[in-house]
Amino acid sequence: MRRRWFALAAGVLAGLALGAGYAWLVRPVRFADAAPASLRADFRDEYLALIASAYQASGDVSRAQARLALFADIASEDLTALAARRALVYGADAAVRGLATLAAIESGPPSPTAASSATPTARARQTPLATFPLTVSPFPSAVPFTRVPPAATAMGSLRLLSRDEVCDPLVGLRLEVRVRTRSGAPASGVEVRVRWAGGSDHFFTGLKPSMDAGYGDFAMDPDTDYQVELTGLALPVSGIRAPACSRVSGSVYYGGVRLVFEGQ
Amino acid sequence: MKRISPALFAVCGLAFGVLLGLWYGWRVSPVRYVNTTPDLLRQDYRDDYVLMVAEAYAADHDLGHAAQQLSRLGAREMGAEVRDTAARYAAAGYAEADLRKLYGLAADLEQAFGSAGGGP
Repeated sequence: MRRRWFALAAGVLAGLALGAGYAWLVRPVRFADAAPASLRADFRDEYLALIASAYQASGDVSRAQARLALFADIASEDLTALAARRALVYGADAAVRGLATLAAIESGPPSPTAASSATPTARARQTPLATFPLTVSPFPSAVPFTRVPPAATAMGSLRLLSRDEVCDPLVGLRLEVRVRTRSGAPASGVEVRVRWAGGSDHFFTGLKPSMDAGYGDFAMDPDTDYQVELTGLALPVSGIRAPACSRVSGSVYYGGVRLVFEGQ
Repeated sequence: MKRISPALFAVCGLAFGVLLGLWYGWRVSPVRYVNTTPDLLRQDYRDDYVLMVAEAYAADHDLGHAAQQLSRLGAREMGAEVRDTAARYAAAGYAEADLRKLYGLAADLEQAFGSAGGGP
């Protein structure tokens, strides 16, 4: 009798191994209905960049938010980091500007649109077909962000409003750039190019949304003259140099410079 | 009464085990895919991907880039893929502006890569 039960148990175990092996290796569950969140990291980045490009082209923020909601674990910092990575490779393309802008939107106060008020789980379950509005929704004016409209990308559409030296040991040698539209709303995704003798660099506004959606900065070196240009939007500002500031004790340190540009 | 042989027990056990294994492998703990590619996207996500490409293309008119992005979907005929998406969106009542972008992209793909609108 014991031999029979042993044979049964051995058969079950062998069958279990065969069955599971077949189900996992030979003929696994066919997977053809993937969600964007399951994409491999590089395709996921590409998908997010495509969302940003489409947003940059259409300006439809509610649609972009509905698309971003498919990635329940994406935070504004992730978009900012992706924008920075892409900027190094592709420069200031539409995706980079869109990512910076969307990062600023996502980090702002919650929008009253349905897409952003839903719970993360519910948002993740939404499908584009089910959630997209058929008409372009205006961006709520309460959100402190304004994208520079594509129509305003002509040289001279922004002007230098103020140029101040910032003597604050905590700020140090920082070149701060703030960009605002004519109505005073912060403008993110604007490329700022910095040139100096023997080099150049660039950055974007909106990558530090905790400061301001239209804010960007650059670390200067002492005793170096810089030229700042908002690519294609404003005339270059030359002769920018870290000022020498003095503490109450009399010791000297280098301060920063703050430039504010505004739409005209 | 005839005694059941141990071999029959083993065969019965094997059959039961196989069923148990299949149930576990397909239902309880199926293979989970986490690093998928765009060609495996569900149809509605796939359509939205095509729409995003069309939206971006309407602004930058970079057909090579649009074709490269669409190639990720693994479609053999990109123009037809875009037209199919446009047809589904038309049936779903999408805005005319979206449909125009889709049909514009489909037409340009077909013109550039032949009537099939295949890849570059």
